[in-house]
Amino acid sequence: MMGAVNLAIAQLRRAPGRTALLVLVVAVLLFLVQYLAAVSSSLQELNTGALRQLRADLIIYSASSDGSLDASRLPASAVVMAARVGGVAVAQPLGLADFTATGPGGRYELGLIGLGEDPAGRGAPAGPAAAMWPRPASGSLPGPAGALTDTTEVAAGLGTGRRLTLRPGGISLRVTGAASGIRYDGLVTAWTTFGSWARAVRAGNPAGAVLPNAVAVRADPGVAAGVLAGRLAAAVPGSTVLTRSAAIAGVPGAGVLAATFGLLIAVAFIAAVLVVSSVFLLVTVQRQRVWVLLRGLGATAGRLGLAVMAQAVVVVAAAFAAASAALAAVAATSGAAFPVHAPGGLIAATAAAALTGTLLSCILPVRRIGRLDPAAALARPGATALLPARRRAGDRP
Amino acid sequence: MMVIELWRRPGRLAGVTVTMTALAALAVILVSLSSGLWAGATGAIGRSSADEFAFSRDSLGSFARSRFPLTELARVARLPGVRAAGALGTLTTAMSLPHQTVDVAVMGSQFSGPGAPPAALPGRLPRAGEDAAAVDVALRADGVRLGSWLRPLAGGPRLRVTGFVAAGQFELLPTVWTSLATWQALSAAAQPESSSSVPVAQVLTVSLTARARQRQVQDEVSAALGGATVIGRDQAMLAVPGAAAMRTTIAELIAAVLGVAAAVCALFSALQAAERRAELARLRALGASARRLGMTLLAQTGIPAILAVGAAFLLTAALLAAAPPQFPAALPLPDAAGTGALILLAAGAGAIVPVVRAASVDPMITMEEQ
Amino acid sequence: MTAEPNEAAVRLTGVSKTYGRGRTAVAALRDASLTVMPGELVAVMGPSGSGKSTLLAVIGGLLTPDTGTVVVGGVEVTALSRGSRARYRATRVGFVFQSLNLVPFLTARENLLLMASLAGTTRTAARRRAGNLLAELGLEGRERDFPGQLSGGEQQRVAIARALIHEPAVLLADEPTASLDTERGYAVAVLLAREVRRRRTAGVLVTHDPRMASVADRVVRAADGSLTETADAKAG
Repeated sequence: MMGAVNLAIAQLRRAPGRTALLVLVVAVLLFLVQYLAAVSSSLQELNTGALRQLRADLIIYSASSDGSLDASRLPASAVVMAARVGGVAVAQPLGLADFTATGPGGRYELGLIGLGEDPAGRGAPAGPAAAMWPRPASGSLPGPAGALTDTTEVAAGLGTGRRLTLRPGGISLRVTGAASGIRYDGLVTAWTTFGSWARAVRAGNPAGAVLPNAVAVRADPGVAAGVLAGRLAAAVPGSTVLTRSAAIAGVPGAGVLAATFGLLIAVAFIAAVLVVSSVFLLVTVQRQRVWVLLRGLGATAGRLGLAVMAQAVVVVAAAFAAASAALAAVAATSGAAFPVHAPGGLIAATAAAALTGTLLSCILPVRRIGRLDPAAALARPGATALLPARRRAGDRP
Repeated sequence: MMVIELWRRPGRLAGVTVTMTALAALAVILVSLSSGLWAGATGAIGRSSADEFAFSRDSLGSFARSRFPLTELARVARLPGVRAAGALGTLTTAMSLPHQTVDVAVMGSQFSGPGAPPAALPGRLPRAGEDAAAVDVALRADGVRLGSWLRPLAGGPRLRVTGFVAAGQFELLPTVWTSLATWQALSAAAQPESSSSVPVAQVLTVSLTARARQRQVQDEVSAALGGATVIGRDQAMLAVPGAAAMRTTIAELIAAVLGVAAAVCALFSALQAAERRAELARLRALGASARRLGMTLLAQTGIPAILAVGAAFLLTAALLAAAPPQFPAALPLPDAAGTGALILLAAGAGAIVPVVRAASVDPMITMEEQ
Repeated sequence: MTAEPNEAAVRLTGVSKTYGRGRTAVAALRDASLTVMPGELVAVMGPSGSGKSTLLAVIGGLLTPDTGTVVVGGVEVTALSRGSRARYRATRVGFVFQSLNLVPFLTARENLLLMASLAGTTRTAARRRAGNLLAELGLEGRERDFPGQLSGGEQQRVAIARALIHEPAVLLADEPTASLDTERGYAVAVLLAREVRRRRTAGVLVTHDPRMASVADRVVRAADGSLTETADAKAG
């Protein structure tokens, strides 16, 4: 049966060159939207991944830090004070410092995160001490002088067993494993024990005082984070206590980044809808003789509108598949320095947006078809009745 | 003739123009964002009077990790080709004002020699031994006035505002210029692990003599400072945290948008040309040259593109006017002109193949259609 | 709702249609009446602007007359809503237009199936009828050809087949031979007359060519919006 969808597909198949061009343009636009979303998501992950993967319920910062891990410094006693608060399961010091690292792949800027006091002996953190560490995708958590790196660094040579030497100071760390999405501030990031971190920082400037940036806290089961935050703020003088999600939002630049990319994605999306709409309006105008004929033969405006929408959906679906494939290719080939991710959620969200946009973009072409006068089918070739006709009493066929 | 047609079918002209406007606006916003971010991140370095910047050996050209004792300054100043040497320290931190807290970039300077801020207007630069600051004019919007007090949240000396300078931003923050000693005290309070018992700076700055050969001076300064990284001002701007990555990412996005604009123009031109095939063939049969038809078709793409570029600039200007002051966007005239030209170029490039094909349509089609 | 054997398939009574208003008003039809019996082909002749196409548009439900009634196959077309008129055209009217006759991106067979689909014919019946019709009209082997691959005469034969696939009450042909040479045009007109009679469908053929009109059972002359019966034409 020659339904609306079949009619739409027949029209597309009959002009493969034009269909390919349509799909290409829409695909490029959808790729732009997806790429912007992926870059935004990747930048957020690169900048805040460490806080996302830190399995803490609350983070204590100094009150003067304005919620920034970089700017926060707490006295060492803050860890003990926090641990004593009722409802706290684990409280561990958290340190952050930048170094120049020498290792496989040359010299690069490295963010070093220190978490938790050194376990006894040279083993990896275990039991409650390991509770807040990111889960390694390979290898194991680091003990003293050990380091956990991001999985994206393994391909660049920072796999288990490799050594990193930190400057200034010359402290050396051995990679014990890798975890996913643990970078901070866009830098190559290594996690070590707080003791190792403190030794590295002290070696870099023996005259300086080494303090934890923050204290990471895990609540006892059943204890509400909000309630515990109040108790901790009262117990640790000069502190501000944030939930992990608030801490992520407070990473310098995270808000501006999200707002800026949100604006770009919105403009790109509007551009995509406008392009698809204009293109299908143009195609509708181009095929106006056919639509007039079909209206003359008894096809309802609704049925023909459905055919246009089916055509748009087919084109956008093909374009979406092509754009997603291109994004997957970009994601697969992106380097460790700036890995671009295309998570399923992002693809699904852009698919839903594309479908909504497609239906929006069909409004003008469908309206155009609705305004066609079926009596124009009787017009002689070249007659002006083929031009868009508002139904007027005086129009001649 | 086809231009007349364009005016007489305003719906189509509007449709193409609106679509092109959206794409052009995307490109212009991206460019303004790039310009704004670049100026905000690196403005203080870009406006610096220093020709060369020396970073300590293991810092990889990072301001935060670079450190020199100030005793090195005299040695650098004596090197051939060096007219003067200075020092600079940077620290991003929060300062409290009477009614609010602002994030600022503290710039420690000697207030003389290369790298010093321009003269304060109004007011004056801080004097030696004075815990004071000359602040970026942008801080006026936050209520800072001559004589205001800035209190660092992380501790350290309070700063009295002695003057305003048009010295640009650093790391997207307004700059607060203090003496190196004050900067060092503020750094020690905010980052105790970086405190030092001797006077230090992060980078040493150099201005060159008129006849100096840049490469040679860079090598000599590097050797004198034990293998320091010595780079020119443009490269030092790229050394600002995040500046290089930001610029590359936005440049890629701009290229993608221009590519899309070209593809959209190609599609529109191809569709319009397909729609008019018979009409074009008739005109060819009547004696119109392919060149003439090509030029008119190109004009039909060009006019909406020009209108779109104009509308995009107006839209972006409105957006920038409405955006909060911290939105990092700016559109200097050269960047605006370059962007407009690039969009038109992309539109022309996209349209050229369909236009050439359409203009060279076989006039015999007219006969076949009879 | 099918017409009885002796009942007229098409009955126009006192139909008037005026375009425009005031001084620019043009009367396309003035008190026009016409009856067409099942299996009868009526040719309507007249100069340009005489109201021929308006007559077809009124019978086909493409235009609503200002006054008068139109009844086709027992359905009072003038009483139908705009939406119902589309359904009426799809089920009870077969059109053969002068131009833009076939959907260019559908094959000959698909053009027929599209019409059957609009009329609500079942898939199996539509396929069977399409095959039979194309064969009967001498288009065997051309089913999968697109309109652009067919000659003008073949295209009009496909259009006639399409106009008949849903077994309409009336077949309306608007200058169907105008774009063909005399011989091919005449062959198409003869075919049209044959199918109208064979299928007991009422037919209205608008033409300005007396030779084409000669295939009709009756000829009606249109002039200044009025219809005048001239004489019985000889069956072709």
